[in-house]
Amino acid sequence: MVKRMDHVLVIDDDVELCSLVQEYLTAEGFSLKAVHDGEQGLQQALTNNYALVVLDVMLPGINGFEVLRRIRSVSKIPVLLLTARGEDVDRIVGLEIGADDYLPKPFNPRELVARIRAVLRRAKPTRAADEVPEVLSVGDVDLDPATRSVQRAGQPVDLTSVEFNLLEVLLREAGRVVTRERLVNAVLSRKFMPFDRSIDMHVSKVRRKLGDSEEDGDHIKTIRGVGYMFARPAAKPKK
Amino acid sequence: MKSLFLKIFLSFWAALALSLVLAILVTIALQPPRRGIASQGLQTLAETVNAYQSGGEHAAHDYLEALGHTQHVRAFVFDPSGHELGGRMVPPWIEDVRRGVPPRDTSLHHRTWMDSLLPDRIMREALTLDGKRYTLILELPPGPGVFFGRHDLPLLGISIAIISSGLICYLLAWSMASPVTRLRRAAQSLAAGDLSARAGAPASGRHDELTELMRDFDRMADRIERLVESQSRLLKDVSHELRSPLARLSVALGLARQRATPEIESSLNRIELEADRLNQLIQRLLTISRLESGTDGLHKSQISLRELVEEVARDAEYENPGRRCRVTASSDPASSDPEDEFLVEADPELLRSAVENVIRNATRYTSEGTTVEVRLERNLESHSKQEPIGSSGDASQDGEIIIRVLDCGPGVPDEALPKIFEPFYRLDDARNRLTGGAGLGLSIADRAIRLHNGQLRASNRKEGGLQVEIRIPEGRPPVQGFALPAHS
Repeated sequence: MVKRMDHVLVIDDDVELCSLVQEYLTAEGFSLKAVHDGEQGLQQALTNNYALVVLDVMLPGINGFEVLRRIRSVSKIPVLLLTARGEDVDRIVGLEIGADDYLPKPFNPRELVARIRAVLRRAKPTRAADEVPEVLSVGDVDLDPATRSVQRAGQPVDLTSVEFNLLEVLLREAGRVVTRERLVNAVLSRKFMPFDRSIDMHVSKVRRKLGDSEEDGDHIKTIRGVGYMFARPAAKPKK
Repeated sequence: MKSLFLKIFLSFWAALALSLVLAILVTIALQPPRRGIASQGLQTLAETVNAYQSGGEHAAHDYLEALGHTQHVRAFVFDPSGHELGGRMVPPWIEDVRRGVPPRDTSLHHRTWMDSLLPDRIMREALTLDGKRYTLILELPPGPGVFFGRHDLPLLGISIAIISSGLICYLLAWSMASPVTRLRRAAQSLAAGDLSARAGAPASGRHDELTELMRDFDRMADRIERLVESQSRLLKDVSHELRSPLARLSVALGLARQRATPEIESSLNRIELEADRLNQLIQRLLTISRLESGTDGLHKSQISLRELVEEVARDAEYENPGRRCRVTASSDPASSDPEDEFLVEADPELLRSAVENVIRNATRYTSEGTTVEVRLERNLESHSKQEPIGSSGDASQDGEIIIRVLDCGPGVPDEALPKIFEPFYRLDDARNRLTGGAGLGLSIADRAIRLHNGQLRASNRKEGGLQVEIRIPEGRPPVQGFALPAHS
């Protein structure tokens, strides 16, 4: 994996932590800009200079979720949330608003780097030369990997990059069950950690955005004990 | 509550009614004997005539008036010409009597309403003095009949007495009992977790002890609400404060590793391990404090326990270090049908955390290569109130769902069974690090389940190992907010 000088924005009010993180990330090949309040962070994020934003939800003044919401209202820039450990609501709300992934504080900096790399890898719009991006169509859903856009019954559907990747995997395996493990590996680019519900959250968000299919209920079916499946219209799913 | 109201009402009413009835009876008993007067009819007549002859009309008048006051009789004396000696107005019906028209019966039409209430016992006497015939008509005092009625409304007087006293006593009892009811209701709401519950005493107005009590209660509730709010704020601030240095420590550790030589590696590993433990401990402490103070509140929704248990079992099997053991989930065919989802109304996060903690505890202690079984059961009978060894919380009365977690570990000595749900309790005092944890997982599970009116029970299996039952009642909704510790 080629290391590039990806420019990362960190929004966190803990000044000392930011300087430590800066040291660490620089050694890993990233360049980093740290700001310490929400307003500034918002400004910077929207300048489009950054490959990724690392955002602390526990900001003084304008709170982290608000910043995230405002960023998401105009930009698809990848966002990694730093949440409070044990506060499930942080994670749930954050993913709801459109964060790509989360990392509870305190964190192992190795983990931070891994997740940053994973998020950046996913967000790359271009594909390797040997992959031909053809439009995937199943039922009333069309997914174009080249433009990273999705349409449902002709109407465009707005998905975050994680949601897009998730849908892509499911569509490629339409009619077959994809295990949660595999989804976490492929979509969140990390090892499947038990007791982690974030993949389920992403699935339910995609479900909601797609709405009901013409046939019956959700496009994405839950297969208890195994994983998820994108339903093929009027065809029996193969196990 | 009814009993206080009834006590006040009935006792006051009985007292009042009784005293009224007694007063009536005493009054009657004090009536002058009627026979006495009757026998003195002739004498009365004679004396009246004497008084008349010696003193004229005035004297006769005075005599008869005096007689009326002392004996409570109305007397009229007539001379042969029909002239009343006392010179007084004679009611027409008396005239009738004098002339010899017998009173028809007790209810004469001419009589006024007042008169008609009184039984007429009329006495008539005649006397001849000096050749003149004098007539005495005497109306005797009313007898007890007025109260024990001959009229269309029997017991009229008594009924009026009883009804009016009843009304007064009802109002009195209500005015005393209703503040007590309000106070009780407010106290119950407060204890159940509604910190805004108040007795609602009027700001001004009544100043009796009961209203003062209500005001005192409201002041107390205010203080409690403020205390709990400040505590939860403190909790939030403290948790944030604790995280910041730990976060910096972790990153600094990472930096150290980047530059580390192999000799330092093991020390850094050690530091990381302790930092992790610190982290876990803080997290669990915060969870317990949150559960205890109820600041989380319960967000109920319908959950499939089967789905929850299956997910947790799968994750636990995946997670357990080195895949030492298997974890299986099943439902009991004897008490439920195969499609049974075991639905309950509960807080999903709390329930998940409880089940996770119990199952992870089992995977931690079970022997290598064994299987941890998780079984779902239904129990439809009500339970005895007796608490078996090693249980916490109150036994349920309705049907309940039991999640049994069975491991093949060393089990727990009988005397320690009730203690394993206490925070920080660990079997071996040496805090055996191989098994990990700080002794908080089961107490977190315990509090979460008690918030749902359920309980945890632990017992040793015949074949060795520990059995932990998570009992969740159906039917009754979970308690909101507070769950004060039930065991000492």
